[in-house]
Amino acid sequence: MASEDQSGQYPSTADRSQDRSLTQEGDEEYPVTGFFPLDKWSKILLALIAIFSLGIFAPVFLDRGLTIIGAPWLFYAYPISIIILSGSWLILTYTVVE
Amino acid sequence: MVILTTELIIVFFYMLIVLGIGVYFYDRREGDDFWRAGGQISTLVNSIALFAALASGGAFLGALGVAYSLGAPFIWSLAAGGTFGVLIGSILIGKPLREVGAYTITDIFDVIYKDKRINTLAPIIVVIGFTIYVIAQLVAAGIVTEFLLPINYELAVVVAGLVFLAYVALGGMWAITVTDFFQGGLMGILGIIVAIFSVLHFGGSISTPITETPRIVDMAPVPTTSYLGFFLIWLAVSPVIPHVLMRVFSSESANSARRSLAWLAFLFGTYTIISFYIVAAAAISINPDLAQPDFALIIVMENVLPVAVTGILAAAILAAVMSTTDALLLAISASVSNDIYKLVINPDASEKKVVRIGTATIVIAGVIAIVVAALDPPDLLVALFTDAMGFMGSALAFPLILGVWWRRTTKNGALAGMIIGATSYVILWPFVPMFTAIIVSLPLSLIATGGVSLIDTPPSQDELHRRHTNFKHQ
Repeated sequence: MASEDQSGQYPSTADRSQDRSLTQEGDEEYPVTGFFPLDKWSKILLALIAIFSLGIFAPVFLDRGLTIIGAPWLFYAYPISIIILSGSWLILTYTVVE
Repeated sequence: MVILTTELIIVFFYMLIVLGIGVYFYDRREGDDFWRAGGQISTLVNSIALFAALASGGAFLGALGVAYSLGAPFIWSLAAGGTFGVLIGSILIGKPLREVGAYTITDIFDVIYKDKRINTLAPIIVVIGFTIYVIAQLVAAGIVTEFLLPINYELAVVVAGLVFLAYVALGGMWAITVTDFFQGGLMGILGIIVAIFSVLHFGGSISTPITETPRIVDMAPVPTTSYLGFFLIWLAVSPVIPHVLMRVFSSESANSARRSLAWLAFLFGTYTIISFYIVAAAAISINPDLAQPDFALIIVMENVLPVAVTGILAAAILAAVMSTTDALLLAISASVSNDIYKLVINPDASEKKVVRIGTATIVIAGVIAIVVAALDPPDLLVALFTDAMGFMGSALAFPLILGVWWRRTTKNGALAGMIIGATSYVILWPFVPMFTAIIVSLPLSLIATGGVSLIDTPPSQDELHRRHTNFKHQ
């Protein structure tokens, strides 16, 4: 198995990647808890995925026979959620998300 | 007979073209080119190739069969889980993983954990899951080809299997990207044409099927937990599924990787919503009592499309099968040669030797899958490969995603998550309703990964530094 070099880089893939220079980062002190930072829009979309997933399934588990406009709840909940979430994220990747 | 001859000619030329693409890229067999096309694939090409890889023959045929027999809402569980999973991949996985310049999912695990046990277990899980997936694809190729062409099932499996085995072994990632780009385009165009003709079949109305073929909107006679399980399997596996990740690695930049996945989510979601509903409804309207539901798409095409299109249809369906299977074969090959051989057994092996072992692995895995698919074909295509994905998602999702983003994740935590996720899925699978094992196995994997990490010694500064710099976290 490949071993780590002194800079802390991963040698077996690092040479394939771009811009591996560490400069002064090797002296940084990293917190050992919490998450690495994520941008605001990504967090919002992750939250929306969780909310929409809950919104799809909670009504069905409460009442499997639930219908709207003559069709089961899932018949409308799935496509609406898919289009809203995937369309929104696609637009965000070309506008505000770096 | 004239039609069959035309179909044979079209399929023959199609196979010649994909083989030619493999031969064309034969000289690009150095490691970086073979495994990830030198990291040069553009967003447009990668998006369509990703769509082709994810929208498998199973999705093209088997999923329509499920919609036909169990209704659109049930199969949309796969559509929603897959779409949301790819979105999570685009948000959390695409950019950091492309930054590393890795070849396989095990390379990523090695960046995070540098643990020999994980480096051995991860590729074994991938090989098991994907071999089952390849068998399902070959069965799809066989039953469709047998139906469309005057050759028997066994011969159909062998011919189709040998052709894509050859072009993957010859050309690697370059060959499968170029072929998948054309196959994705072909499948997309075909899907749109069939959907349009299906709408016309209902007099141009998309709401008519709700009243005319109410079975398409009904809830299936399965437990509600099966809906949730079907959704969760594809939600968990889509961000970490190796043949999709390998395309992330081939993107021309980190932003391109993220956008390609965003496009994939949109294309896959939209396509499955339309196709699984309107085409399956048309099939029910034409023949509500098909003995083999997997032929729903064929029935629609035979009845609503011009006869001249049937040859292109044969090629398109084979394209759906091939475009997924080639990516699966390359991922299996990389798991054995790059992950087990290069990372664990012989770190000093030359790139040429690793590629040679990879090529041999493609041939061996392909032949095993062809033999199993030809001699002992499984009955339920979608169930077969969905359960294989459930096994893989339970084992890999949390150890990978938490390892990339949660600083506190340790190698022992990840190993525990993998083992408990995989074993609990396998143990529960025979005793619970369809697709529901993951409702238990996925949370167990999360608890094991998180719990063991919390009681374990925290990662060292060197380990955190390695993750921070390789994934280019802010």
